[in-house]
Order: sequence, then C-alpha cells, then structure tokens
Amino acid sequence: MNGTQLAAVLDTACARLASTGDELRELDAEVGDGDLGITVTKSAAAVRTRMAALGADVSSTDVVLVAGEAFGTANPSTFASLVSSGVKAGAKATDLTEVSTAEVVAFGRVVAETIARRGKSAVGDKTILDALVPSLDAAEANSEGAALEAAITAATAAIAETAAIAAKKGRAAWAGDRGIGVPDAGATAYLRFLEALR
Amino acid sequence: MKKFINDPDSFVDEVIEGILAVHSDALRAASPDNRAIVRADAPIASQVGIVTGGGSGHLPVFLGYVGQGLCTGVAIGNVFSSPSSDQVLAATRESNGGAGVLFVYGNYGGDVLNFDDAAELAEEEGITVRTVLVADDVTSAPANRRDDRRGVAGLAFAYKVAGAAAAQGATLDEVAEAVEHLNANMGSMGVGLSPTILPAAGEPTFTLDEGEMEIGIGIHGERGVRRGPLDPADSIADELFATISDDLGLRSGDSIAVLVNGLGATPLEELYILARRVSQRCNAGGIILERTYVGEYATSLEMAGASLTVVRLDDRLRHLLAQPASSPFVGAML
Repeated sequence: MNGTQLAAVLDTACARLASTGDELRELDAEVGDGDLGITVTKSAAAVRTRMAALGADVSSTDVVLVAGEAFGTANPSTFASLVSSGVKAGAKATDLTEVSTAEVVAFGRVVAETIARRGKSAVGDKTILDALVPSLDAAEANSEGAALEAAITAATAAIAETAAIAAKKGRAAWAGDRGIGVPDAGATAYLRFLEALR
Repeated sequence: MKKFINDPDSFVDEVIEGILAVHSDALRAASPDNRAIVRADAPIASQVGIVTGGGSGHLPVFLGYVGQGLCTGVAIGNVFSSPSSDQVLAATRESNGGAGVLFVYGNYGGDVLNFDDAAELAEEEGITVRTVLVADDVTSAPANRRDDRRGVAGLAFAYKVAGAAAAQGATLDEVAEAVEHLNANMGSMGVGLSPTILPAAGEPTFTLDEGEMEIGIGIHGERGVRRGPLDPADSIADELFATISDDLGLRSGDSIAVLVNGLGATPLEELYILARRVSQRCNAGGIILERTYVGEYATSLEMAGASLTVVRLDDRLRHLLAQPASSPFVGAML
C-alpha cells in the first residue's frame, strides 16, 4: 500500500466513524462528561479534510503524521490529545514503507507506549490501552490476511472483560465502583475504528 | 431542548464574540481565533502572569476571572473540552510581563496534557512557567489521593489568591506557593438536581428521575458518590458541610470562608437557604464563619444544583482574599 492508498483507507474509515457519535457519547456520559462522541466525530471529520488536501506521491509516514495532527486539534480532549501524540510518535519512530502487518504492529506498539507514558496509565486501568495492546498481540500472531479480524476479536473480548472493573485513570476513575459494568468509551472508540477499516 | 443558539458548532465562538463586543474595555483577544483572551492592559510589566483555561460551559469560569487582581489570560476550549496547546501558548505569551507565568487550572486530563505541552513550548521561548492544579472536589478521590481530585468552584479562590499575590509583586515561586497553601486548606462538594445539555450533542449528559438528586456531582455532570431521593435543603447543606469539614479536619475555633455556588439553573433564593444552614452549623460548632460568598462562580451550563466550598483561613489567606479585584464578571463578587 502506498501513501495515497493509505489516505483513501483512512478517509473511508473516518467517514464510517461519523455514525459512532451517539454510542460513544452515551458510554462517556455514564462515567464522564459525555463529550467523547463529539471528540471522535469532529476529529474524524478533521482527518478527512486533511486527507483530501494531500498532494500526490505523499509518503505513508506523512499521511499518518498529518492524520495524527488533525485528530488532535479539532477537539483536543484527553482522548484526542493522547491518540494524536501516540500516532505522531509512532509515525516518527517506525517504518511505514509497505504498511504491512508487521509495520503497523510496530507502529501500534509505539502508539501504545506513548499513550501509556503521557497518560501515566497501563493495561488494566480501563482505558484505550486495554483494547489496543491485545489487538496488536493478536494481529502479530496472525497472517497478513487474518490480522485485522484477529485484532477486532481480541479488542472486543478485552473491552467486555474490563467492563467488569472500575476505571483507574482519568475522569472515569472519579466514578469509582459506579463505573463497573460500563464498557470503556475510549477502548470502544478504538474498536469502532478497527471495524471501520474492514 | 430549548436554547438561544444559532448553530451548535459556532456556540463557543459566538459566546466569545459577544463577550469581546461588550467588554472591549477590559478584555482583548490574544490569538486570531479569539480562543486566547487577556486583560486589555496585559502584559503587566514585572508582575507574574496568571494564565488559566479549560472547556467552555462554566461561566464565569474561566474567562470571567480575567481581570485586575485575578487572572491575566485564559485559553478557551469547546464546551467541556480542553483548549489546544497553541491557544494556551498564545495566552501565555501575551500574559508574560517578564516575571514568569503561573498556570492555575482545574485538574482534568485533557487540560493537563495541553497546558504541559504549552509550558514546554513557552520555556523554549524563554518564558518561565510553573503550574499549580486546583483539585478541591473532596468526593472525587479519597484524602490519600488528594492530587487526583478534580477542580471545581474552588477555582474562584485560587484565582483570587494567585492574582492578589502577583499584584503585590510576589515572585513566581511565591505566587505558586500561595496557591498550594490555599489548596491544602480548601475543599468542595456538589449536588446536582438536573442535567446539562451539551449544545453540540443536544442530549442531557445524564438523567435524573423526578425527585432525585446526585450527591457529589462534578461540574461536567460527573457521577458523584450516590444518587437518592431529594432531601430537604438543610439535610443537603448538612451533608455537604460535614463531608468537607471532616476532610479538612475543621475544629471548633477555626476561621473559615464559605462559597455557596449555583451550578447554572438554581435561583439565588435557594442558595441563600443553603447558606443559612451553613451559618447555623458554624455557630453550633464554634467555627468562625468570617465571610460567605453566594452566587454563580462556577457553573455547568443549565445544570440545577449547588456546590459548597470551604476555605480554612489563616492570616495569609485572609489578607490575600481581602485584596481588591475587578473583572467584567466577578469583580464585585470577590
């Protein structure tokens, strides 16, 4: 896949994310302030605007850098800021020449490390990391053609598992045990993005 | 939902345009997008600049506290969303009078990320920045994790203390230390009676049945410690006051200031019924209630409800809180 093809894939996925606004708003409103739906829909729309303005022969690295920047500035909430800095760090630190599964997994590892460091969080805190890290493990363990479905299956299972615990980070942690039973909104947003890549 | 709105997506920008049109004598834009605003006379030479900011929807927090003896500048995000680091940086540049800039804002994840980024960028430009987070909501985390708490109406006192210290010529470290001293002696707790509706979402952020209240609610509708049937005003005031008193370890003979804050849709009359009960509790407990502030100091759009903030006073805080302050929104209220 080249940069132009990757930009088209991201554009399609971000167009599909527009329909997740209500679900994410409701999940976030259970334990937080209900703005995650707005963050994801506005940020995805901003990514689409920037994808449409890319020049020909753009590299995949630049496509991801531009997408990361756009995602973080439209509505710079905690989620948007962390995802944006993770994506930008991943694009700078890894090679995306082929956009192969191995490259994307290596990229995703840097995204996860950056979110963990900047958000001072770890797998099991009930954040996006709960879905992101197992999805990378699953993608890595599967062949090129089966990686995305394996990642989606792993993320879905992880979100169901962490719904049963109380959040340890961020606004949701203030809800304490009252957040038990509610799936993490950020992890769900990531799952919806994976599904939108199908 | 009935609101005075033209377009949900331009809600915040139109609010700011209105404020700048009305208060051009006191405030000016510090960025082309109007999301960074400073005092009209900023920067103030050789005084520490005070910069705050956060999501919209809480007026007079945050923009309303830009004024003399208060904040120098502010960065304004979308409703309940952080401003960007560039917007914070723009406010910081125009607030820097050469003595450094103190960031004072509520402890929320997105704000922390963006203000920290802005602090790094400002330092690269040679502006010294320090940060003190306000984390006064006693129900959002236990006392052994005080620093995890969210910031609510206690922001009003933090701005007053920071602005007063800066106006008296204190150094950046001294101003920061004064706000930390306030933080160690301040607690807040809220109760919600009806939800907020985000203009861009058009739906309530939570639902409460008729006759229910949410005790311990945050200023974005964050869940509190419990939900239950609405109690009489005196019982609610007692619960808020007792919880904060326990957290601060208040004892007979202590002097305090109290803020009874409306969350947006609760009339002043009801706030005074709560203030009446707090006054009675202080008299009964031998606590010296030196000053009570009543009004809308930190709101959550049209949420009905109230919060109580208690500050334990010593000579230093008493002196700083007594200094003059003025802003188009809260000057006379502080």
